[in-house]
Amino acid sequence: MVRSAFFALLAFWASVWSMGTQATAQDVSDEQAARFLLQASFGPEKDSIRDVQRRGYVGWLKHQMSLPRMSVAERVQESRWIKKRNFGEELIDLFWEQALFGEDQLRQRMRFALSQIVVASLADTVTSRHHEAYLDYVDLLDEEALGNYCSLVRRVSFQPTMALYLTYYKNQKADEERGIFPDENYARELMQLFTIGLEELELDGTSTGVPTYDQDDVSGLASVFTGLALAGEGFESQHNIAKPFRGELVGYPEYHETSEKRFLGTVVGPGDDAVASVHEALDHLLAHPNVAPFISKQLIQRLVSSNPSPDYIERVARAFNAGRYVAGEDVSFGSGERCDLEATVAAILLDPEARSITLSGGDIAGKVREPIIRAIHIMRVVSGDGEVSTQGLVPNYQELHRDRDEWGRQRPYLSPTVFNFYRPTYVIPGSATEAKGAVAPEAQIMTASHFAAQTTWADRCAVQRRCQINELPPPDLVPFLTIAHKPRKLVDLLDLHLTAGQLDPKTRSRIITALWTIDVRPGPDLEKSLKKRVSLAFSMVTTSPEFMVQQ
Amino acid sequence: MISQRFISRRSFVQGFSLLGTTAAGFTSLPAFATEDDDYKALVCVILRGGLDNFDCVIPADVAGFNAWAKYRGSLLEQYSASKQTTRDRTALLPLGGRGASTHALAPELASLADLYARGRMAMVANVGPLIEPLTRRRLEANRALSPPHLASHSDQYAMWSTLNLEGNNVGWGGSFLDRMEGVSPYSSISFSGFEAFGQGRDIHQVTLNGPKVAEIPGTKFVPGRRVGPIDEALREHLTGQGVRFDEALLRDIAREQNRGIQQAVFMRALINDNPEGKAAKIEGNRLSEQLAAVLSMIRTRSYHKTKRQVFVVSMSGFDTHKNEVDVLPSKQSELATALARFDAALERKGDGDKVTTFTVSDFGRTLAANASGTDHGWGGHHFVVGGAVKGGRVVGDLTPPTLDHDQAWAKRGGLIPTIAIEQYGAALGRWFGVPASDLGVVFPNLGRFDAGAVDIFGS
Repeated sequence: MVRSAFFALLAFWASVWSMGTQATAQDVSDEQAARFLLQASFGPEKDSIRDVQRRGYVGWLKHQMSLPRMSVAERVQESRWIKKRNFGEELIDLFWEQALFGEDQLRQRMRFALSQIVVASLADTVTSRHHEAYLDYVDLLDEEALGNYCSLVRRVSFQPTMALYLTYYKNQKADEERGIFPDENYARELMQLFTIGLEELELDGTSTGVPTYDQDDVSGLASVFTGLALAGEGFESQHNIAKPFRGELVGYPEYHETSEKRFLGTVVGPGDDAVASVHEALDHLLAHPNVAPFISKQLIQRLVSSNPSPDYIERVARAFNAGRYVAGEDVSFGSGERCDLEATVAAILLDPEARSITLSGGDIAGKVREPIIRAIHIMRVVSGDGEVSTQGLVPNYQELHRDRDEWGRQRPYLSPTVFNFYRPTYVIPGSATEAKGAVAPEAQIMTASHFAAQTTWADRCAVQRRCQINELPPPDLVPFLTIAHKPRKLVDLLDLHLTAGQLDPKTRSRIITALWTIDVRPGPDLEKSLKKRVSLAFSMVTTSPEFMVQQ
Repeated sequence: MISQRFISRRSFVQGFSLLGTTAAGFTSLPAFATEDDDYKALVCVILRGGLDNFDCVIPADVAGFNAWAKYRGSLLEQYSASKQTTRDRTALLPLGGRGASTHALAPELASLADLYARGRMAMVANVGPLIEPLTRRRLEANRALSPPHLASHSDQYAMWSTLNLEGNNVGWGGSFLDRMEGVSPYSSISFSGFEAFGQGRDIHQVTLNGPKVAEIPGTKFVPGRRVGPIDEALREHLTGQGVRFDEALLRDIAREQNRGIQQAVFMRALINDNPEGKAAKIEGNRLSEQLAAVLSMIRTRSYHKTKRQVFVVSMSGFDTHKNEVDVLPSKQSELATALARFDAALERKGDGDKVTTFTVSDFGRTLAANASGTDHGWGGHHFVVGGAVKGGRVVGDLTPPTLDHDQAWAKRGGLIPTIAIEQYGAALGRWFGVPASDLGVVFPNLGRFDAGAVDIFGS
């Protein structure tokens, strides 16, 4: 049945795929490649546009999935062995370095998306104090970014970082004498945010309105997450003493709830083996039919569209459940195991609704781009040749790791709570999208403070480098300066690289008119005035709605 | 009511001309508020994560204290070991007054205890989302409706802000303003990002991420000197003139940016380094820094010509599942000192009775602790501060410290609210001047409760 469904879809999409599978540069236009990269990477620039054209969509995805990954833990530990500095800042700098220069853009982008779903934030001081464990969490996100979502949830549940962040580290069974009960934090958020959500869903993401769980389910599952800590831990002490503070959680039978633990219609135990209890509980939870639509929809929202159609969600959810996505007669993605993320991400990015503007939901198509992704994208466009450093110190990008309104205070690994930087339900008040029943999650952090701060950022920092990021290679402005005497050409180039050719004709002409106000004539001030034009062009394009929204 | 048309052009022009006059600094501004103006502000203090009301208001009689202590064994062990603080019964600060004869505040709330004693603070006990009056018995017998998604941060917080589940973006603070005279585009301001509470249907909230705003090109100019063509072009571009997009999302973002830029220009002129706010500011206290910006806005009201304002400020970190004893006391102290300093500054400037400050939070917490913290509850106790407040009293019931009383929720002594958000909100709205007939529109469910129960204003 599943197989026949795939073949039916196959016929339906044949035209869309042919563009990708047998691609040559003629098949994928500059703008199409750039648009694909708005979804699949930290933003197009000249090299990646050509790369997509050369390989085609499918070939590009396959290539991305074949790239080796670098261990973030090893990289940062080596750097810290040479010289220690603020851990969170170092991780953010490495994030920027990988996003700016890494070839493995798809993995990075997926890792960032997952870090916003399975959140363990450095904003929590207890979590951020335990560096080694946190690095393992980042590596886990990195590994499973193109791996398996269910495996990520299972593995992260045994990670000390998650146990500290959602406070089940050394969580104890009920003790009447001391008047205490198990901590319910992880039980609740694991269900609400990481796996099934609050209401029963159809495969296409539509809610039936039936609550998935109640308070009894939460307290039942909370009892499962008791008696867990790293080996060698003193359970009665407030302090965490395991050294090194990393590895998998193990069970402490005397602190684990031994009686039956009931939740979501299942019974775990009785038994005092905490690890076995957690596996049993996760088997049940991860098999819930909500997982596929719940996670598929959020991943679509992170990459492609805030308001995907139910059919789109269902197609991706089917790939998630099948663990496989067929992209052509001899081409498929995924291992065949449920929750496979290669299959899922291929289904998301190759779907007609992602690839074709006309199929993608009319005037509520696309999404607001995340502020931090926009900031990184601007830097990618002006960056010269850089590489991800593989040894020595992780570069210190000073300004880029600060808590700034320029990126809507959206620093990787630092969401304010487990509920992420913004909520998937956010609707812009009194808006045209609201009238159409559409959400715009990322717009929640686009405050007046953000709009004000970002006006100068591209010019001040990316182009002119009047900001503290000495260790970033200098910008390569030559491609822009050489055409700055022709405003139309300059805007064409920025339009392609920054907005995938989506600039409105009126916006274009306004920018071009503004550029003409800067006099460019031969003489000692020539370079200065050309640079002024490049600066103004960047300022105006990056503050255009067409740049803030990907269609 | 205010129309959308009013918002854009005029405030922008205002913003820029204001900048012209203030280029030399605030000292050149003439006197701000006049003493007898009809001005009122509500300041909503969000305590993010769910405040542990059971560690704020504690039974102080021997029997009550011991009953409470029974469910707080793990926390009290840690309090005993702490050098910074204590929950020793004798160290607690007795409240006294109506409704609280046997209760006390935690030592870190000393500044609030002082406001309470001086009649400038009231407490409202066990407030939370309700659909209709509810007791444990009715709930267990399924004889009454209860709000959906209990104990979910996002949804219960949304209930507090909007009386609805997450995704609703109009709150009761904004709805108040929608129905009042004397509003302006600067009537609703959040210093804490987007907050549905302050958003109306017509009133658009000004959303800032904190008490300072970045400079925008083309806005820093000396009076008399022209803005250069580049800044001019950029300014026109940022305010979105001349392009109307067909796509809804692009149109919305263009409008958000247009409005955000205007607001930022105006707000920057009024709050960045405004000495008026300093009187409320405790350096390093993040809540206090936001309240200082609130004070700046209140004191410059003759400039933005606003007679009714709703402010949102916030503190985070109240979701104390773990290490509560390490975390909560310092937050309590930050909250109490910031509120007291703000109130004192307002009182000194003669605006004390024009401003009412009140707390909200996702939910209260469980009476029965876990190994080092507390979990999500439902109802919670809240503070209302200001010169107009009939203070020194607790409205509502401070429930007994047991797990099985009439209002105990689930197994761990969380509270089933006895006062609905609607009742709490209606009291604030009445004081604010929302017409009585409109209160039922802002709070459609108010009719199911005693609308006058929260009696905290007037003599």
